[in-house]
Amino acid sequence: MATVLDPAGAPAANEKQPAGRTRSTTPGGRRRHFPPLLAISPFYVLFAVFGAFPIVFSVYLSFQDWDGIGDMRYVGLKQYGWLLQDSVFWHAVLNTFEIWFLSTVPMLFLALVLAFLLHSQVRFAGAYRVAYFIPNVTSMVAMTVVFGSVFAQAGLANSALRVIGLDGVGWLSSEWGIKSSVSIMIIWRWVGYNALIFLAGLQAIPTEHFEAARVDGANSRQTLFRVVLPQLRPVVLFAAVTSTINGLQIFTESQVLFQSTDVGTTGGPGQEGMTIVLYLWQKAFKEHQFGYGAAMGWVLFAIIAVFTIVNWRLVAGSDDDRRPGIAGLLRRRGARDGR
Amino acid sequence: MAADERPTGSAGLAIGSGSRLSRTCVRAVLLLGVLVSLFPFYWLVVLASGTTQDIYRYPPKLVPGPHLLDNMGRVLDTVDFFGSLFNTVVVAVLGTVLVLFFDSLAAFAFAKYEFPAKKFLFGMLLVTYMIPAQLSLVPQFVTMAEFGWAGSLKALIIPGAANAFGIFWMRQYAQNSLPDELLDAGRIDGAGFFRLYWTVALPLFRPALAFLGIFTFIGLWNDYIWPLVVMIDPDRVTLQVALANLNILYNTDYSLVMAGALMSVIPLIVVFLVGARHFLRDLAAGAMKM
Amino acid sequence: MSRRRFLGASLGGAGAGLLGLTGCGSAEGSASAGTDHLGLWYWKGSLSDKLLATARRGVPGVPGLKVRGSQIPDGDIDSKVRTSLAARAYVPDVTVVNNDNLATFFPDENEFLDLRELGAESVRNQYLEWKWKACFTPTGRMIGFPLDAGPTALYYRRDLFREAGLAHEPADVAEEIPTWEKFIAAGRTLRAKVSGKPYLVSNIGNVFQQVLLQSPRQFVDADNRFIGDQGHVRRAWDLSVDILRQGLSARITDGTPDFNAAMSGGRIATMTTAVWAINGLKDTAPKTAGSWRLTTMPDGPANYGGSYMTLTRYCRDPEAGFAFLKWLLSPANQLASYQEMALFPTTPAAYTDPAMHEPDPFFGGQQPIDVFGPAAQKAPVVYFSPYEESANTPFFQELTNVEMLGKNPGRAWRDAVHTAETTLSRVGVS
Repeated sequence: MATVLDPAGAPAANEKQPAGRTRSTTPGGRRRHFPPLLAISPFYVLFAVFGAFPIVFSVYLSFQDWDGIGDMRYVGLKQYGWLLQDSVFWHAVLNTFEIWFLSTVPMLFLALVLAFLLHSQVRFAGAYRVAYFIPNVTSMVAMTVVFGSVFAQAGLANSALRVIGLDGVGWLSSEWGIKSSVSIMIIWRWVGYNALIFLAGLQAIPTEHFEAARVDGANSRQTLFRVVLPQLRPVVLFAAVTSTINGLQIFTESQVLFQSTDVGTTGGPGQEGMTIVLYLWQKAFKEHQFGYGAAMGWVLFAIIAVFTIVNWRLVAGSDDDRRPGIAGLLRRRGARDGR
Repeated sequence: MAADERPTGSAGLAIGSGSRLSRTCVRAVLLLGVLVSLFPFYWLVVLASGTTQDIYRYPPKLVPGPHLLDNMGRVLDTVDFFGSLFNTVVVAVLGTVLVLFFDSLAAFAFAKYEFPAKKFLFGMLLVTYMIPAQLSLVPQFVTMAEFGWAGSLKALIIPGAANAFGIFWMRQYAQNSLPDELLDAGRIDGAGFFRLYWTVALPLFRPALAFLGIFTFIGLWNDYIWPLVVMIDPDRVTLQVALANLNILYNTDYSLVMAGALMSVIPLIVVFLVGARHFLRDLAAGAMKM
Repeated sequence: MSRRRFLGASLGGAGAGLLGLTGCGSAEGSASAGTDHLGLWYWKGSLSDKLLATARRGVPGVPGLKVRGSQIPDGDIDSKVRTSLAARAYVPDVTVVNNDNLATFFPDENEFLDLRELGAESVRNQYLEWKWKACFTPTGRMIGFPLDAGPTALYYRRDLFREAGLAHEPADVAEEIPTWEKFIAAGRTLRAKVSGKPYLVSNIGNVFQQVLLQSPRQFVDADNRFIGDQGHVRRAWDLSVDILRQGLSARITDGTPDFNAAMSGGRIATMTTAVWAINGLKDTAPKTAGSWRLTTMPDGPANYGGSYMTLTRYCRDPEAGFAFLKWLLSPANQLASYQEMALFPTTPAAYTDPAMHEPDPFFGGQQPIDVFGPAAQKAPVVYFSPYEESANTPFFQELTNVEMLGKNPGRAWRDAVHTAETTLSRVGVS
């Protein structure tokens, strides 16, 4: 720790410039700004080098045709043109949305139910939380390997169906089987996480609100819709936004599930498990079309941006008090903490 | 704020607050949820302790077999498990330490100091948080290649060594839990910014650091796409990439792959269980702050 | 290149200035920089484990030379090599390249050493003529060195053929099933008459692949023209679809747990593949030992896979690297590799060696060389363009769509042609 601290501390000590005493009431003037600016600088330096620069560079790259080894060839907007005509890409976009929808909706619903149940449950609350959260902690690669065996034709899922007298399902070999399998993995991984977040939201509702509702003679249904859900809105928004951002970047599940040495099996049969990020990875790092990959990154960004905004509008609604944006939420939370 | 402090049903929610019967129902559903949550781990143990042939058996064999140690031994013979484990530990530990340090330092500045363009800088931080990492997967790789960092653990540690989420979250914590009086007292004693950070703020940050630490550690440990792309030296990969390779190289030997999967999740589960109590409490609070 | 250097300089400089951390990557880009050995990339099953173990301790006859192999999943190796070349770091000194993919490196031929400059001509007469020729780029540089060949055969379950009342000894099967049409007919009989109702093939992609390889022309010709919409591809497509229509495909992706289960369980009666699949089959379905036989592929043999070795331009010691290739791929060691790993020699001298003629109990005492030997000599010489994979991938994918998802074959064909044409137009193939 000390070695890390040193470079940060040293320049501060070396600062020779006498402090320019301006209107400041504190001794030190401008100079007193130096330590905090230095303290926040690592983030901005790292972001400039590893965040902002690559983003700018990716604009440049997306105008090039380049395999990473030979010379770059300027192609203008052609990569974007090709992308718009690429049926596999649009298929991947569609798949991503289908998987996102198939996973997010049941996941948020189940999480809400679990949160309510947990809220009314006192005994073993800690143990329940741990149990529900563990899926979120474990490596997706390992668990995808496990789910892969469960969803195999001769796997556990179909064995279970056989036991109750049903036919097996082509979990990994049919359009909706593939999407369901991937979605089930996502749901399994995120339900507990979101349930705990909703639970925190429930617990943050001041008891007085319930008292007031009771005094007004509200039944439990009315309480739910008039008191609980409105109060939960910020957490639901948080969960919806993160689920969207995560959901549109699904990669590991599809990549590991259909890992194979065969020609063109990325994304599974019919590429029904092909997602945007998986396709980006395939084009860029399997086929080494760096320019194409960069262009795809921008389209992905545009899609996520649009969806995040739509999400905000939908969940945040027109309520003036709830300004869209994380900053708005933060302000609200700050106020609540202050009570 | 923890659930444990609440009397049953005092929140006034109808669910579960009524009769004994409905409480039993609640408990049953919750237990079912626990079963679903944990079953894949149990199944992983079953698969990792059986033979490859067991996997295809009908009816399926639902109890662990006797081959666990044998299969795990074969993993050690087949891949450099400890090497990948070591890489992963280095990345997760160093990365976490750097994140904790840089984030708490920046958060301290944002929470307790005024400086030029503070609002703008903080706003920028929020905006960067919304940029999906995959947007610039290709140029990030090229940047790493130009630095000569491709294939090096630095590529996994340095770029994320200070992150928006952590700064953001620590700042909230600092605003609420770091009394100005304490800082003023320190200033009177002549302590400067970094001294105050180190001796006053950091100790008080401890609970928040614990949460952010576990959160970051888990994220670094489980990261897959970036190591997959940038760790170009096949002899130096992280556990996740090693496991993915094992899965594709030995697809005929499922018990081996499952044993590898089990070995790759155990260390993290242990870390999580040790810190779970604090972590989960703060996770919920953290989400509320976002 | 100049642009890239500029970028590197400005960025690297900025990084160094800001972080003081850069510059300690691998100095020369070689995976083995700073070590006492050469680094080799291969995939499991592509090289003899025993010989690699020897090379790791020291290559016999080359004092001081050690070679250390790293296993890469086989579908990944070409892209991993490219990625390391792009990063100019951790590039292997020596690498294995799959048969039809050597050509994909032709546009980047300068990334590999010209083996003639290291004295390759001196051993030329030890190797198969067609394999040697295939090591050269269109500009005449020799960037590959012959590893193994991939003569193909029909693997079939003698017990199931017998139960179905079909000819079941290798010579008889070859006579009864000379064409793909007869092969399909045999599949119908198997399905109808054998109690376990076995499928003829695991999936139709394998048949498509084999029929294609029996043609000297693939998807892109030597003049860089797309020919994937022509009769030779269409025939492969139609035959494959026919197998599916008649319900003779198990519709299982190879290498999945389901495939392993089906092979072990005797639900698949044949495999149409190359010699190197022997070890995989033995691993996958050890319990079926003794039931399998080998015979000539319907419509004749082809060459499927079989690989090359290359030295990259980052190779730290080109002379030593070439000495290693000469040792590893000498006739004697190719023979040893065949016995150990079913890697079919590209050195004809090995073919007459008694060791090549040992009976294999997995095939009921049959000598695999009796089938693969003639196949290696009769296989047509096939032209692979650098854009082969871009061109054929849509066809394999669409065929999978037809098989797994029930897509209309006519539509799938049109989509495949369209996708291939679009993809190729981007790289200048018309």
